[in-house]
Amino acid sequence: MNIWYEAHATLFQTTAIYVLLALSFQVVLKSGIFSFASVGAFGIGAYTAANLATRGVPVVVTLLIVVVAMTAVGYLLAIPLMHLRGLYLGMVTFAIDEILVVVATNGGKVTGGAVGLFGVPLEITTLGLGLVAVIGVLLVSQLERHSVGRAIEVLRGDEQLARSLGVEVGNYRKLIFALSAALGGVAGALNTLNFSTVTPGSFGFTLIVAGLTMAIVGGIGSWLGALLGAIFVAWFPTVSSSLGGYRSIVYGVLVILVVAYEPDGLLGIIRWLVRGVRGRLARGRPAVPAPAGAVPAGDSLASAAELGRPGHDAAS
Amino acid sequence: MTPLLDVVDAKVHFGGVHAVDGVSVQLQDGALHGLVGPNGSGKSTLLAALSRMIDLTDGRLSFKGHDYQRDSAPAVARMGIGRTFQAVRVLPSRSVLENVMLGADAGTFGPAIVRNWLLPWRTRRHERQCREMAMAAIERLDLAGMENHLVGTLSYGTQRRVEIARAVAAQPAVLLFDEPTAGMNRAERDEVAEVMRTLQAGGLAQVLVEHDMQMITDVCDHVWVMNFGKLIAEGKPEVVVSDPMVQEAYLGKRGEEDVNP
Repeated sequence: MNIWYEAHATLFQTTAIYVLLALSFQVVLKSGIFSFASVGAFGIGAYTAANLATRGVPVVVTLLIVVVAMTAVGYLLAIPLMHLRGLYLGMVTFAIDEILVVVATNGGKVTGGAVGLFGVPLEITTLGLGLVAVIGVLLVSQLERHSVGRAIEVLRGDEQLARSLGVEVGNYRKLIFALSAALGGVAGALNTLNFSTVTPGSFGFTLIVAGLTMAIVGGIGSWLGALLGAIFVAWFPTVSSSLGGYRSIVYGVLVILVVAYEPDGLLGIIRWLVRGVRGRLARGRPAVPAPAGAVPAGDSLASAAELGRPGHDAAS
Repeated sequence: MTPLLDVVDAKVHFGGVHAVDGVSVQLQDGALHGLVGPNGSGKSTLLAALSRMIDLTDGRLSFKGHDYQRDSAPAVARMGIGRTFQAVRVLPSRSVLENVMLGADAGTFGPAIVRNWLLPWRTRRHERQCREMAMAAIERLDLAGMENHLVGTLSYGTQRRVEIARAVAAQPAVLLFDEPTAGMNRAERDEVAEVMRTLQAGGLAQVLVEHDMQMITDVCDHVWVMNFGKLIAEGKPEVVVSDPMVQEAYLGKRGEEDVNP
């Protein structure tokens, strides 16, 4: 076990960082905000941490500075951006990400130019990474409970209704955008503090694709989906190494299948399986999943599987 | 006595279109007023202005003596002005209870939401109260026993009642209904009428935008009639219905006046 863990420590570290990035995407997408800004935040967090750590700032302070700075930047950016909806917001945040890559490439000493910054002191342990990821999960999971969860759900489903019920739609969207920026920024900072390097290439288009894949394949409806998606993206290449050259093809096909046939992602598949097994146990006969609409919502699994199907309408 | 709701010379203009053009009305505590008029007369626009869903071009809105024409729609909702919409607006994949709890939540949807998010243990008591308020509203709307059903699986009329229960659960001081019986059959309509009378007996002031004159005369104690954005008549339903101006607005002018000279 220990040897196996040692051999896969990098994967655990990557998973913790990916979890935060996936949550950063999931939290906005679930709220109906179609944004790629998480990756830009990842970049800013990564360079900020590199600069602070090389100047001897302790890791906890570095992370706190990144959280505060990214929340502020996210909130300020949200003031003009939250008037945009759907693909228009997507395009603008994509452009911001790309601009940041150009800035990083030409940033002189602060960013290390095209080669980036190397030799950042390694200051964080795998346990520390895991701890930060757990804090991120706790924060985001609480957004899905009680009145906060209901407010966000109605906000995504019907903004006018939300306003008529007293939900401060504009402020909520800004706060969620700021939270997403903080999560993305911390993911970037941890990435630098753990792998000691940051380059302009480490937060470009590839990371947008990876982040979106984690959130969507895992399931946008819940933080659990982000967790599953992050584990899938981090571990799939290693677990499937025996596939050799076919690995990328299998990966692509799996992503297509999940997105095309299960809008709730891996989480939806797991819930479907659990429901089937439960039904089988309860009735002592082969389970036939009933049409979701006919199931009383008292069955939390049924209702949870039904809700949060934003995968296909996040852009609308 | 300060009226609960006081609308003074309210105007809503969209460019050259004067959707609401200088309407002044008052609503007292516990009153149940109808708002009628032909299509496009400005009823729904006035309702939207009262709930601050759209801005007034000019005029004043006051609720319990507080001018609120510059407050945001969510703030107005939390202040105690509830509303329903013309089309059914529910979360179909959530249960009746969860939908109705959205109304009961209203008080926490302001700045308190951050505390509810970061200190979830402090919200347990609130959650319990919320559930009780929602259950009371569910029982009031005769939905007891259905609280765990997904709203999307219910009939149109029942979904309407869920909407009303959600609005009632917020414990508003005034409730604005935008054609709550549209698309309902007679039995369902009578149920809604009964609910409105019960709510009135409980002291809730209501405004009912409605096309169905029978419904208006059945439940309302006072009617406002609008046409072309203006208030053309008001008074007791049975009197207003026989007003020649109102009949003209609804049915057009008499035959002989239609003939070109």
